[in-house]
Amino acid sequence: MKVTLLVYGHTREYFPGRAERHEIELPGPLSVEEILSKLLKVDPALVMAVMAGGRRYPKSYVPQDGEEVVLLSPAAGG
Amino acid sequence: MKAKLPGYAGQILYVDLTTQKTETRPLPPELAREYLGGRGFVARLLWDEVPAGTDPLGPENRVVIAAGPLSGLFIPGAGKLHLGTKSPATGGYGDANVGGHLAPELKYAGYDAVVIRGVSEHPCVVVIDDGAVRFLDGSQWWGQGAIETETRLKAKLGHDFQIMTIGPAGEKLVKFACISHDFGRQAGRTGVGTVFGSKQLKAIAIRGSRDVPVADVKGVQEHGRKMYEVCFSKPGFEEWTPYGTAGVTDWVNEVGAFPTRNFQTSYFPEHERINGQRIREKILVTDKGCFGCPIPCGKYSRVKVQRGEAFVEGPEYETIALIGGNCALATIEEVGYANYVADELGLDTISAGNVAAFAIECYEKGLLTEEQVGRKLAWGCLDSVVFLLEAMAAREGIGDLLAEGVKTAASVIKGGSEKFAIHVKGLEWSGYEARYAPAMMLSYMTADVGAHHNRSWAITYDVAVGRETLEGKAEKVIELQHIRPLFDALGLCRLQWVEIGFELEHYAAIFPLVTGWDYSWTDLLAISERIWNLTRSFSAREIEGYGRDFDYPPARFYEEPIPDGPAQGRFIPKEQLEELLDRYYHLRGWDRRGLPTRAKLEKMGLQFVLDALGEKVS
Repeated sequence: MKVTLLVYGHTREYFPGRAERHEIELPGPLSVEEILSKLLKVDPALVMAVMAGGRRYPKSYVPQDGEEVVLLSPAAGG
Repeated sequence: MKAKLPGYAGQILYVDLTTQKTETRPLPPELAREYLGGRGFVARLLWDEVPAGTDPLGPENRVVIAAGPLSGLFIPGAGKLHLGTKSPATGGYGDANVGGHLAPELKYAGYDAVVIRGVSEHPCVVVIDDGAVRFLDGSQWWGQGAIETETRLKAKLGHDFQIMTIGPAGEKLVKFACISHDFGRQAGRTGVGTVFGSKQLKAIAIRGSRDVPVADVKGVQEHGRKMYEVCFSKPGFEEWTPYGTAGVTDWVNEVGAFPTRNFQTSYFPEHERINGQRIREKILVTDKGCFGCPIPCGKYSRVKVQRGEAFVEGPEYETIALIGGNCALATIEEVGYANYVADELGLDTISAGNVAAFAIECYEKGLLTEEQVGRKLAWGCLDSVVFLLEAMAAREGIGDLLAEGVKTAASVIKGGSEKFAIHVKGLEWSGYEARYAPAMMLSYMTADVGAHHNRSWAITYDVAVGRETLEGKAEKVIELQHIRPLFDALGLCRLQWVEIGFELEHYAAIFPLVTGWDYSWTDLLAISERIWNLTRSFSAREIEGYGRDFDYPPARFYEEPIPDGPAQGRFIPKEQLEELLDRYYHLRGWDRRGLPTRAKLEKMGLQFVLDALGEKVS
C-alpha cells in the first residue's frame, strides 16, 4: 500500500531531502507515528498534528491505502 | 524635490512632546541602505538620539516607531510596525512589534519613522494625518482602558484612522505596559507602553493616503501575486489558520516545554481545555487578520465567566501559556477573560502572567502573606489572577511592587524567590520552558531584549538533532537570530515562513524589485547581524557591567530538575550553560565577557560605537 505525507512549515527542514511531499510504500497498515520513526527516520515529536480528509487526528492515525495526510509543523508564536 | 527612495515614504517625523512641535527630515539614504528599516531604524536612531545614561522614564528617552521597506506593499504579512526605546524593564535596548494596520498607514501618511521626544505637560494624543501633525488634549481619555480609548478615538477622529493606545498600566508606569492597536493586538514587550505613559502620551492616531514608490511596479505586482498564490497552495494552509498560534499548545505539552505554575514544571494536565480547538469550539466569533495577511491568526472571541462577559482578540499561544498554564487557569473562558482584563489595562500578557504566577508561588511558599497581598492567592483561580492584574495596573498594595517586574520584586521579597523569578536581563520569560532544550535555552539567554522567543525559536532544532547534545546549538541560535529579526527590519510578519513553510527565497526575490538595490539574502542577513551587534552595544553602553552576567537564566533552570511530565528529571547544569555561552560568544566574534570586540565592531561597520564603549571594548 502507498500513502502520501505532505509536510509544511519549518519542520520540513528535518525531513529527507527537505521535501514537502513524501510518497511512501508501506509493508502494511502503519500509524503516522510509525511511518515517521521507522521509515523516514524522523522524530514524531517534530510533527504537531495530523490532518486527513479535512479532520485533525493524533499521530496514532493509520492512513488508508492511497490517502494523503498533512503533517502540521509546530507553530512558533509571534 | 528629490525623488523618494523606492520602498520608502522618504521622511522621518520628529515629535517633541515638551514643546508640542514637530520637525520633518528627509530619510537619509545611508540609513536605509545600512539598516533597512523597522528594527534597524529603531536601533540606529535610539543609539544616536538617546544620551548615554538616560533615565528610561525621563524626557531624554525616546520612542522610535518605524515601518520597513516592505511594509504596506502587496506582499504577504507586510503589516508589521516596530517600536523601540531604552527599556524601563531592563535598562538596555528594548523593542516590540505589532501587526494590524499601523505600519502601512504610517508610510501612506508620509513617514518611515517617528521619533518621540520630551514629556507633555498634560496627557496628549498625537494625530498624524497625511503629513499634517496636531496635538490633542488627552485628559478625557486618561484613565480609560486601552481598547476603550481606541474605540472613542475612532468615533471622534474617524474610523479610517489607525490608532495605538496605552491603558492605565502605562499611565501608572508599570514596567511591562504595552501598546494596544486594532482592538486587541499589542506591541507587548520591554515596556514601550511604560515610556508612552512617562511622556503622558495616551495615543497616536495615523491616517494616510500617499503613494509609496517601488523600483519595479510590474515586477512587484507579479511577484507579490505569486507570493500569495504560493501561500495559498501550501499543503495544510487551510489547517493552520483555524487555530492560529494557539494550535501549538498540545505539542508544547507533548514535548514537556509548557510553562506551568510559574515554570515549576513543564506539563499542564489540563492543556486540552485551553488549546486552539477549545477556542474554535467554545468562544470564537471570527478569524481576524492584519494588513495583507493570507493566514489570519487572530481569533476574535466572546467569553463568559462568572465575573462577567467580554470580547477579546485571542487568546493566542503566549497568553495561553503565561496566563493559562503558568497561572494554572484550566478553561479557555477563564484564560480569555483574564486576557481581556490585561488588554484593557494595557499589560503585556507575557510579563503580567509571569508576575502573577511569581506572586502566587511566593504566597504558596509563605513569602507573601494574605495580609500583605490583601486576599488569598491560589493556582487555577481566576479571581486571584484578575486581582493581581488590577493591583499591578493600579499600583495598589502589593501591586506597586509587582508592577516593577519579577526581578525587582524578588530582590525585595527575597527568601530564595530570586531562583524562581523567571526572567533574563529583567524581562520575563515567554512561553517555552527550556530545561530540556539547550538551543531554546540559549535563545532566551542571548536574546537582545531579554527572555523573549521571537529572536530565535529553536526548540524544534533541539527535538530534531537531540535534546541532550549541545553540539550545533549555538550555531543554530545565531542563524535564527539573524533570520527572524530581519523580518522586523523589513517590516514583515514572519508567520508565513514559520507556520506554513513559505520559502525565504520569495522575500529575497521581491526586495530588489521594491528597492532597486541588488541585495542578496546573504547581504540582508549581514545587515541583520550589524543590527544585532548594535543592540548589544546599546545595552553595554547603558548598563554597568553588562555582558555575560546578564545572559543567565534563573537558578531554577540550572538547579531544579523538572518534577514531572515528559521532561521529568531534566535541567541544564550551569557548566553546560557556560559551554553554550563560550561557543556562542566565540562564533559571534565577542570576547568571553560577551561584548563585541573592536575588530568585530569595525567589521560590522559600527566604528561609531567605539568611542562610547571606550575601555569596555577589547
